[in-house]
Amino acid sequence: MNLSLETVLPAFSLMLILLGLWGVATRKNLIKIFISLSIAETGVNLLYISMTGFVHGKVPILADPTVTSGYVDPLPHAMILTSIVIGTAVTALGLALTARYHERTGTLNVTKMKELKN
Amino acid sequence: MHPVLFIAVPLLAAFLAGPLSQIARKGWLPSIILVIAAIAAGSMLPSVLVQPINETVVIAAPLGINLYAGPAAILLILVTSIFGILLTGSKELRDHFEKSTPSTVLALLHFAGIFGIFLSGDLFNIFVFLEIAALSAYAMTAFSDTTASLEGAIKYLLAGSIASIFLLIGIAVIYLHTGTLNLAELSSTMPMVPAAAKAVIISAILLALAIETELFPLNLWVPDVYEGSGSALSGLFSAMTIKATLYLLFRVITLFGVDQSIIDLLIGAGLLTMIVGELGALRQTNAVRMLAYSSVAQAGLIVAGFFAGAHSAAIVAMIAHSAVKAGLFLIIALAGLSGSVASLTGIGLKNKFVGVTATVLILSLLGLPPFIGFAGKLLILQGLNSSVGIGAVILVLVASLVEAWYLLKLVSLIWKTESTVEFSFKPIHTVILILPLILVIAGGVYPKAILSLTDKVANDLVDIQSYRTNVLGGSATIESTDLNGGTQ
Amino acid sequence: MSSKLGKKRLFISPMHLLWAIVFGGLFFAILPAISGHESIRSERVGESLLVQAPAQSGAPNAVTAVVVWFRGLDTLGEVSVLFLVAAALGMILGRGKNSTEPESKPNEIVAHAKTLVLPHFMLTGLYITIHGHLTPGGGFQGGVMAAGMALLLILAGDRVKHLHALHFLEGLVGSLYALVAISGIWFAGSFLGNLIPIKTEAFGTLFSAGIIPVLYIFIGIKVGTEIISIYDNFQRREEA
Repeated sequence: MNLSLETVLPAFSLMLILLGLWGVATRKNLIKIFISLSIAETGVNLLYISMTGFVHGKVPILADPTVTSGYVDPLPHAMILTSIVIGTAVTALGLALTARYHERTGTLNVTKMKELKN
Repeated sequence: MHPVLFIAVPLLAAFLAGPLSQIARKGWLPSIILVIAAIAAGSMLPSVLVQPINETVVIAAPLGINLYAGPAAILLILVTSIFGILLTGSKELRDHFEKSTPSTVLALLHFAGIFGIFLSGDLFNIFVFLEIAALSAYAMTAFSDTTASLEGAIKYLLAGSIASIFLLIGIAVIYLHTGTLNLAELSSTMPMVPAAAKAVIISAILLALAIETELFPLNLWVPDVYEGSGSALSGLFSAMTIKATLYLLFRVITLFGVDQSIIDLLIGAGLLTMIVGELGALRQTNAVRMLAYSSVAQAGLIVAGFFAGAHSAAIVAMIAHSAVKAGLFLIIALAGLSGSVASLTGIGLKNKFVGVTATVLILSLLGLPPFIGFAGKLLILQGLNSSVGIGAVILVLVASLVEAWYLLKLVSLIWKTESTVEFSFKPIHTVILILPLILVIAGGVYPKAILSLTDKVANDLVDIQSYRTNVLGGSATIESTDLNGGTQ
Repeated sequence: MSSKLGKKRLFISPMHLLWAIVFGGLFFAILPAISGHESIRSERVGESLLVQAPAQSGAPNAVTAVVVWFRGLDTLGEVSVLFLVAAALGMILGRGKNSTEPESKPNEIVAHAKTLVLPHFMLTGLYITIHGHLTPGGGFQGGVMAAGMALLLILAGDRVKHLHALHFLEGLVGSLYALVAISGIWFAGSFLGNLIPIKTEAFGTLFSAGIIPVLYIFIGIKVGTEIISIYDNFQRREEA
């Protein structure tokens, strides 16, 4: 089996995503859940990087406008930039809500969220 | 008229929310922006029905982002903004907007996100707008700063974040295998994607959209969010937000040309959602929560109807549902009640107009003639009968019986004599209820007028070929440009 | 299972194991779909954009050209997301009083080092922002550096004094960004169109990439102010 970075990175990023989702599914503490979400988001970002084929290509900053081959695909980089910012935003909002929730109820445990139920 | 202004103007208004809310006092700013959007959409609709507008942002379609203003997008923008005005203009929400600028910002960005979902023709761009709409919805849920609303917001945020992770995985796999993010181009390249990858793409995207469109079994968070956020916001989510995600589901799944088995799965999920929703609503004592379950059920019916081939009927049902839920949630908000079903007792005798409106809206929700809901439900049943069989029809009818049970109980409560609570309706506040009332009655009496419009709209959603031609230009045949690389 | 040991174990309940099996199965289901590099388009959209970037945008850094210009609508949306969250945090954390004790005195070393580090931080952030189209930098990175500076000051015990100025700048730059983008519709052919001519002969110099550096400066200021205001909201929370 060929263990180059190119083949390992997708598997590694997928592992991070699923590990994060596993954390979201099983953890009870809200802070830990947000940490897990961040892990999953990092995995997604790595997945986008792994698509660019960066092992063979150069950084897409052109020295000469006429030579445009041999560089990596810039679009996934642009998408990651967006998804990083959105991930940060989600984490910040989630933590703020958690802070306020903790202040009101004194708990961080999701299983104790019983204010709303059938 | 440039479709991008639907997105850019609310964004600009949000950035300028501080100074602008000095001019548009008392929290009217979001309503004003929605009025502008509704007028713009209304004036664009006749021309768009003939020739859809495709706007290029910076670079032409397969390479850059395009905004596609077809009949479906513009009609739904019109409908959602009209019923959005009802709710943003309600006292409950305007109080929030007046108290703090941030809440105005959140509402405006929510509208920008929703209009972006309707218009955008690029998958990643749609993700961005979906996130704008979702993040603002999470924060809006926490408007009232009660434990319940914070809990609802946290649950909403967790569900939405998982949806966005799956959507991002789907987009990554799509880009890896097709090399494009443009929906029109994807409609021709998706059939060539290897089966294994296609399965991952479809399941990831369906999972994400099923969470967003509140399909069973991924909708457990919905009633909590609605109950936590209060009646006016629930109305806003019901009338605007779900409509955008439903449109997205229909658009994406139609363009991707999925297998019949996936379509069957979606119909089944829709029917199940309806039954579970109606059964859930049956045992509620909180009116907002009851209507939330009913919204879930209606979304399920619309999804089942659309994928069973009753496209036009599904659009009618979407419009009818927006009108009905905007009206009903507004009535609860106007009454300023605790939200329990019992507290609605005698509301119709206090104010006849409100009582009649509520009754008409509820009967339309049930699908009784002569109201608009009847046309939608009947046509959906016909579609289900011809493509799935009589079993599906019976399921929907059983669910409707359950629905009739709790909704008719509600009607009888509204007209009950012994009133327990004092209501203080200001007549001026109830005037706006005339909008959904007129639509529901007019659409029921002249269904032909609405149906001729929705037929064109539905055609815009399902006619993939003309979507491609409109977005990518008519001259180049798509297959050849795809395979030779899009460098021209 | 004894409680002391049980707390440290990963699989406390059978549900955890069940989820682990589910996600393990997903791993092997998804993995084949994400390895491999063949796309149906002979040239991916990003690669086509790379070819067009120098001539059309004048920016040597193709990622910048894509982020700020070709997919500028995404970036406008992304800046709005930051704005949204800053506003939401102001709303959520701004209400109610909090009983948390004020934190201990700031670290001596941080308090003294701040004057030494500050100018370098600012200058680097500025450089990174305005050279976004030439070097692997840009408004996001530069803006975050500026925000890092603010974080350092907060750690050193300083507080944002002119909150109104911060919010004013936030709104001003955001609306300028949106206005420039909208005016492109009429003056440059499309939303976010290029209002400033590109100098292809000066490729690779500071004033060559048309509107991109201008937009990136807006993005830089916007990102910086939003992140400072997010920090500030959390900080106020702790001390109120």
